[in-house]
Amino acid sequence: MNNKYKIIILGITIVIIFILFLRVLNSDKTYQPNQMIGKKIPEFILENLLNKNPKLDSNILSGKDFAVLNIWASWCIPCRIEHPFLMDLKNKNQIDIIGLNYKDESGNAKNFLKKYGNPFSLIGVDKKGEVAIQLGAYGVPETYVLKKGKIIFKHIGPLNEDTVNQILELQNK
Amino acid sequence: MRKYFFIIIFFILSSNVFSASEELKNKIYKNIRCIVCQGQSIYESNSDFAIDLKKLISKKLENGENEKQIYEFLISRYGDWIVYNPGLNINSLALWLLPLIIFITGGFLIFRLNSKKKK
Amino acid sequence: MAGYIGNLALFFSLIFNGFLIFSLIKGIRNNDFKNSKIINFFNNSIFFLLLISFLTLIYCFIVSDFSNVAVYQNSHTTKPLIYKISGAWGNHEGSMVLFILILSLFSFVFARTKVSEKLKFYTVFFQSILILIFLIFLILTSNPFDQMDPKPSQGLGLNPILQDPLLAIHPPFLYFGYVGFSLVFSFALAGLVTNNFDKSWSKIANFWIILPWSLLTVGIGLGSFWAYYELGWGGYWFWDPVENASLMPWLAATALIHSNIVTLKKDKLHSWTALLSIFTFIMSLLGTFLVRSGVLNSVHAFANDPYRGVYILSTILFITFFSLAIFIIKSPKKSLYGEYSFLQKDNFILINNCFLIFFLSVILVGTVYPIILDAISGKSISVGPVYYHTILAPFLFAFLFFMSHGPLISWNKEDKFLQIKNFKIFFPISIAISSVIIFWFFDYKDIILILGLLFSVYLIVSVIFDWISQKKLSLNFGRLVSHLGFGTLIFAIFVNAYLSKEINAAMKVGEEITIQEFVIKFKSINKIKKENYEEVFGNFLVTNKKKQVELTPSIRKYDQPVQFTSETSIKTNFIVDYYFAINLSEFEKDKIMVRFYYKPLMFWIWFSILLIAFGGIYQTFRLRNE
Repeated sequence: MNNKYKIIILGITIVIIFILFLRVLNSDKTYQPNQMIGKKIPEFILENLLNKNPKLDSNILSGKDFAVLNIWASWCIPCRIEHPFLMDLKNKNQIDIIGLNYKDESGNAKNFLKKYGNPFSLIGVDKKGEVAIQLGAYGVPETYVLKKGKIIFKHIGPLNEDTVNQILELQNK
Repeated sequence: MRKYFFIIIFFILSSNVFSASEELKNKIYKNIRCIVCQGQSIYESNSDFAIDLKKLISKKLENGENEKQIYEFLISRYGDWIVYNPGLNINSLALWLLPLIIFITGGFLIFRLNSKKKK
Repeated sequence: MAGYIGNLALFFSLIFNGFLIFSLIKGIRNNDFKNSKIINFFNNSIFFLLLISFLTLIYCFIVSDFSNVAVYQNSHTTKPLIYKISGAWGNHEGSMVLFILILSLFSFVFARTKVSEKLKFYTVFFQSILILIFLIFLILTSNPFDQMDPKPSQGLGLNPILQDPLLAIHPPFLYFGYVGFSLVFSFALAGLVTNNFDKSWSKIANFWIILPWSLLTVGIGLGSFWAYYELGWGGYWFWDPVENASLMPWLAATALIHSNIVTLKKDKLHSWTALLSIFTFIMSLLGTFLVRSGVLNSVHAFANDPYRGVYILSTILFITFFSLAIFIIKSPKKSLYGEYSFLQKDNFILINNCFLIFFLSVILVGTVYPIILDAISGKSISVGPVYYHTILAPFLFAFLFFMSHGPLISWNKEDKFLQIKNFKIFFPISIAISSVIIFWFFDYKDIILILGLLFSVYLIVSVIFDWISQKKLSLNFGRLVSHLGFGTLIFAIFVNAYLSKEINAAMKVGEEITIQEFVIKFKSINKIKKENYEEVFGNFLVTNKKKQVELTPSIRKYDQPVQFTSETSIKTNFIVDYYFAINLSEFEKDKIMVRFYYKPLMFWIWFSILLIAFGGIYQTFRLRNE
């Protein structure tokens, strides 16, 4: 092979490597597990935070046409940031929001709701964080959108205007 | 290879039942990535996430689930990324093949050099 | 003020570098290599200016000049002096200065050796191009003398796990290693461009390959040793991408050392040696890119902005393209086509290279493939120890076998005596000794362990056999020591991997537990306060059969920044390490989590790495004296 062709091949290889790594550099490096999207929510039963009954049963969730499941905790700072969005979703848009109180102290959790308002129609207590793992979550806050018990959307981190709009779009579909 | 690992585990199991469950537990911990950490396994991490997973895994082992079932559960929740052993599948094919191809190419070149001389 | 001087020195070194390149080009154009005085002047000045700049940075760290951003971000007034100093290269900016300083140091020293003027001109030329590229990178994207106003009254501190004497010297060794490969890179390009790639090139190159290789060996060993006693997980090698990044140039350089021997002794294999010289430094650069661009998810990765990553990426690919293009155009034509036959040393060195490049490709693919896969398809996979062990082990055994025979084989295939000695005497002796050792000491029924021990003992016996039959020991002493070290290293790694034991438990003070053959007693707890941390010690007594070992691991709470670290306590002897670490309990508040490890032959792992490096250092001294 002629040297000229060899150098052209070398050049093309280098350019390809450059483009590949450029993509790597620009890609988002926070890992977003989305294995659960499209699947039915796993089965669980959790104690209710505020009343004795009803317990938070995954069957209740499966029965709902459209619901938002939000994992939160009173100790979690970003949860305070997203709280107004949850309140809006409930009050303005009449969305049914279920809470999953994650590894929290129930007294603190209740105070939190007193102070900032309670957007949840039902709150389950995930004291050990086991149900969160079942859901494929890795921290708080995380938000799931359920359609007849199927997870159709998931957001990691505090809600913002964009995600709220996405949720509303999903509701109207 | 995986079958082979089970054979090792069997040996350890038969020799000492107590340490076997400990050893298996640690082996699984070392094979699970702490996905909220920077490149550590949950074995090496004390983050909340790692601790929760460790508790869950040891509970699952007590309930009689085996190593494979635990990996499958975690992969179904968090994806392939969480297990440090990529296994052999479509995504990891190149991972196993590329080095072997390089080795075979090298071997072929050496072979050709050796036979060239005889001509 | 000090920052001002440092900045000025950097700036002038850039200008002088410009002058240097200009006068080199002029000399090359006119084919006039006589005028080396001016070249030496610039070359020396650049080195001294960079040295001033680096010392100034250290000074800023010592006096805690927080108007300097790098000092502010990485230092604190209460830090002990040694960590203030090492803080200078414990961050991205400072370590880049060290990087460039070493580039320049090698150029500086090289220019003082006996080399033909023409080769010297070209080598210094390529080296100064490298300096130019990295100086611009430093000044544009990561100036270590950036000032901030108003001056903060206190710094942010250095990550406590990095406050360790070994870690203070680990990075310099590592940089001397893989930046050191730049010189043989430049020298290879010089040899190619001037058509001087021959035996005499090899003779000089030998020194410049083995020297950084030895230092890199020490650097990798230090890093591994640090991970072992500081991280507290009983492991010493995690197949972390950054560890891999240091192993890649090491493997390439190891291949280069061997192929260069063929070029030197037989005047063959030129183009392969040239390619490896280039490739080794490219591997170093790849490591630099992986660590500093933020593409990795790793404990070691420097936090970074993407702009920096793009610059390093472009730079490295630029260097790769031009060096390989030069190689393609000027590659020596006689290259591979010498005589080969199976039972000849040249052939075994080719086999050695094939294996080493295979090991390198395993690590390269294992490190880079997941990143690329994620970027292309969005699929994330994790490559961990299981992959590396599975794919490397069988090849390692074959490698050890060839390594046992290669050195015993003669350069000339006519030399029948050596072949007979090799196969008829050494082979049975070695097999006999290895079998006895294995079946005497190890009743462990695991085929991988057995094979690992068999082949490593086989290698060790072959080296001893070789050692005894040397007529003039000093000639091969370096090689023998390094090979012996490699044999004992593999032996120790296998024993350690298969016979280690670990115990995890939660314990209260006064409690005693018995697990496996160990009795662990938690005797007492005590607390001390130091300048920049508080420390809680646990006193433990471990009884193993009749042997009693007292261990005092601790937990430290650092003030600046607030962080808990776990300090291990290790009692070591030639046979086994007793290793203890404690953590605050995750499950029960009144207990402490204890981790006890029984790690056989750890001493031999460290000692073997030193042997490997020592062989190289011995060789460099011998080469220098020649």
